Amino acid sequence: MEEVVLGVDIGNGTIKCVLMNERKEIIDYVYTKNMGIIETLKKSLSILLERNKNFKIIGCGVIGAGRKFGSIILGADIVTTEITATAVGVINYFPGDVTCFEMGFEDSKILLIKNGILVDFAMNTVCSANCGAYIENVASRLGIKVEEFSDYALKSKSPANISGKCAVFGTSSCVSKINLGFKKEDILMGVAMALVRNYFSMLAKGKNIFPPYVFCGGVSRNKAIVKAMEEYLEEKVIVPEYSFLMGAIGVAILTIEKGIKGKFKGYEFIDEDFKTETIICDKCTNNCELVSIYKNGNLIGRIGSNCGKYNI
Amino acid sequence: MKVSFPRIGIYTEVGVRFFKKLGVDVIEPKPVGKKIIEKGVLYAPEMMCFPYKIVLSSFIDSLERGADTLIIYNSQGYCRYRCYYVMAEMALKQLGYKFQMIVPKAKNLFSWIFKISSNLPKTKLFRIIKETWEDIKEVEKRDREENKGDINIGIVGEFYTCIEPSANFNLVSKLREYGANVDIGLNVSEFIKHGLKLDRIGKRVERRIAKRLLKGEIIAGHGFDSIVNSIYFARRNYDGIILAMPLTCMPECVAEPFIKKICDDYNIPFMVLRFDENVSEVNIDNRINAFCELIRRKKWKK
Repeated sequence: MEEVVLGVDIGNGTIKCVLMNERKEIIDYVYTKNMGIIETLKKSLSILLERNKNFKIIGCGVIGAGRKFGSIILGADIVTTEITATAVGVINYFPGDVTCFEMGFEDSKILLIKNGILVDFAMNTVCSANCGAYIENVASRLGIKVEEFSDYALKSKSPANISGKCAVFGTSSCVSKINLGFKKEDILMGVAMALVRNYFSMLAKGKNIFPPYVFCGGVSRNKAIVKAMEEYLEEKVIVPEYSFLMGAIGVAILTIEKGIKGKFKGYEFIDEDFKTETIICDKCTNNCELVSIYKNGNLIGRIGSNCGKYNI
Repeated sequence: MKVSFPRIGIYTEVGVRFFKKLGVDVIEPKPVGKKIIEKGVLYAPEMMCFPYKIVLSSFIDSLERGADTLIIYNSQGYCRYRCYYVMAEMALKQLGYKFQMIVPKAKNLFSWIFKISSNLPKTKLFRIIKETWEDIKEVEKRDREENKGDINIGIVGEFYTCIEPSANFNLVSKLREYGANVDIGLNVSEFIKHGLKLDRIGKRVERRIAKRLLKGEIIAGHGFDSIVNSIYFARRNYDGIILAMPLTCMPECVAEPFIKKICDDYNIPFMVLRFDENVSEVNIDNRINAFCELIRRKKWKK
């Protein structure tokens, strides 16, 4: 039975699980929509274990927005940010100088890597008009599936001019374009271009980006965005094979490199009953929302307090 | 007379002790949590800097707990900070609070202390001032002793954002949690020296470099000090520099490209954090964590 590690990326939009052996080869992965963290994690883990019965998971690394929660229920060896993990993943495939664009569902990042070291990064702050959520919004407004987005958009010959800078105004600008009789594909390509414009004007501000360009994150599977990006940069953009898993791959590599402590609790996690409870703390004026996690009725962890007094 | 003043991070206790020594009743400003900030945000102009909103909230909270005299220092600089007291006084009077506002300035600092403590002899006053100065130094020393990390990070930027945890979403304690040693460029003792124009003595080389960089032009507020302190940190081989500023802060916006250039020249990682009541704390936390990881990996590779 070969020993493997598990890399989990609990994102805002999707949950990615990757199995990796000690030679840093990917054995299997699961990519599921995030419909509530406990159920989705249970579902993806059981699929993964079902498919790979001759492997034994010995360690686990968790990243993403739900990393605090995930690390408690999975017993993670390493908990880190998406930025570090994605950088490690990219460096594994592209040693040397690269600029990495990462677009997720609600986060987008730009990572500058020189000589295999992350030297600079930027992350979107308030606006998400440069992330996957915007695409999903527009697609659902036009009544098409997100998967079909690029099929439609790539047919476009004269993209519409969509105003950017804000997802809400961007969507309403699409609606007014529909009413003016624009073709669907032109609107969609216009959205792709607006999104890329937004991305570079928000994140690449004041940074000296340099080729080769690598494009990661869930949005990188959208070919229309890749095309818009290539047009914007006038340079080729590389989309690696596992671009959408880059963070999970990175954290799996980190787990292998930094040592496995054997805290992994994933096997029990699938069968056991987990419940959460939220209360608003009134001990001070911060009014933190505390989330308590119960396993079979016993308290196993609490997250969310600013002062740290009530975190377990 | 019941005196209160805006919350100033770890220095709040010094302020309370100072007023108690002067024999004045003092209402201690409480930590400014989310619930208190909401009030300040409600009565402040939308695009006003975040520290003003916190100061206003802190005042409202103190007034509700019975304060009748508010004290806010006026640095006489050329940024919006200069108008804080006028704006706050008007806003609070419109809300119907009864109070008087005392605004000490650097040039009338001693006469103001003399006035507020009407029946203390002058020699005792000077002793109190000296003790308070030592108290401030002591608090800063104690704060520095909490540095137990393996990387050094210098924080520059707007004064209040750097020192008040509610204005920077607990930046300092978060950095320490991720294993960083934190040094604040412009802390209260530097600020007082700055106000009394005593800081011209130190950091002479840095000042000269900064002046050359700016071609002799001045930036209002603490923009110039941010640049000077960045050079100071860079020359002392700090591992990273963070510029903390309120969203829409004019002086720091001007200083930002200069600090970026300094960090590029010295090859130091640099990050800007802009704070506002709408900023997501998770996002800030993420970036701080990633910044520490970036520095550590960079050091480790060497």
